Amino acid sequence: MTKLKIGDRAVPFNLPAIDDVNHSLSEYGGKNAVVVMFSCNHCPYVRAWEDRMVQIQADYAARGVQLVAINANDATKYPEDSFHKMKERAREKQFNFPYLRDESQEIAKAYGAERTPEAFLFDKTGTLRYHGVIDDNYDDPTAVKVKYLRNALDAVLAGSQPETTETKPVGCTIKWK
Amino acid sequence: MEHPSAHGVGGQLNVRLKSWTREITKRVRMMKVRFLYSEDCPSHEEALQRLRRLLQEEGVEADLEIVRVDTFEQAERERFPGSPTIMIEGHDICPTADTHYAPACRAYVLEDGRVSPLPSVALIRRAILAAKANLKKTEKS
Repeated sequence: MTKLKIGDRAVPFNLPAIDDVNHSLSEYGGKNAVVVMFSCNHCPYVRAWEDRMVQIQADYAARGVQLVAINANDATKYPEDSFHKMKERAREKQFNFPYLRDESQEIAKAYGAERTPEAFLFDKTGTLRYHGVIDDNYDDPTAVKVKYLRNALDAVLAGSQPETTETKPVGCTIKWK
Repeated sequence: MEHPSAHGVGGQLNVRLKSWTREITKRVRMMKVRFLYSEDCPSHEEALQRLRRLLQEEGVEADLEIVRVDTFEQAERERFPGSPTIMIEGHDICPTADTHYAPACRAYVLEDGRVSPLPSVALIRRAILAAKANLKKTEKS
């Protein structure tokens, strides 16, 4: 499995979402930045961070940022990650971003994603500018010291290079078939 | 302390017997702790450190068994709801109705309602203290 590297182009996708329509990367072509976030339902790291994901989308939407969450986990072995449960979770947490299902796991493999949550930030040209964690403290949002994804978004929106372009993703492994 | 020479061979035996009894009692008193984890979930290292620190802080000598769970079969056999799981004296420190046993991360709901891949310090400490009190009761009876 190859992993996207900083400077690589985004891999196109067209996947079913919890709103029962397919969403593709090309829909977000007019955005200033797109965050592709590999995510899921069952992982406590995701659950610890997901309010922050919602807040990031809320805070950056007006600046032309789109967060897209993709769940590629094997739902047969991990039923909490089924499409039905994804819809429930999105309702419960009031997701303000599309939540997509990568049933074949091809997109997760194409990105080289390994964990949930794992963020890939692309600029308006579709070039990868940041990859890794949301911030440096999954356990306590009030104790966060470095907001990696927000910092990278601010840099990309200002047309500059993020100070930190890569961090090691922290979370559950993607559950491969 | 009784001196062996004061009572000859019988006295020596008596002292040894007392020493053995003390040793056996000490073993019986050791708290049985099982720490089950999956490599897929990175929180286990911090959780184990937290457990060891709290056992030490509470002055508990524990018989700590560390079990790595890699497969669904093993998870089913161990009734492992996720990583990390801490069993003290045979009881899960956070009993759950979840019967989906899998080598995956376990979600703990913290005291303030947040979800974490780590059991809180308060949760582990409560379980240790409860088991310690139970062991004391058993020793007395």
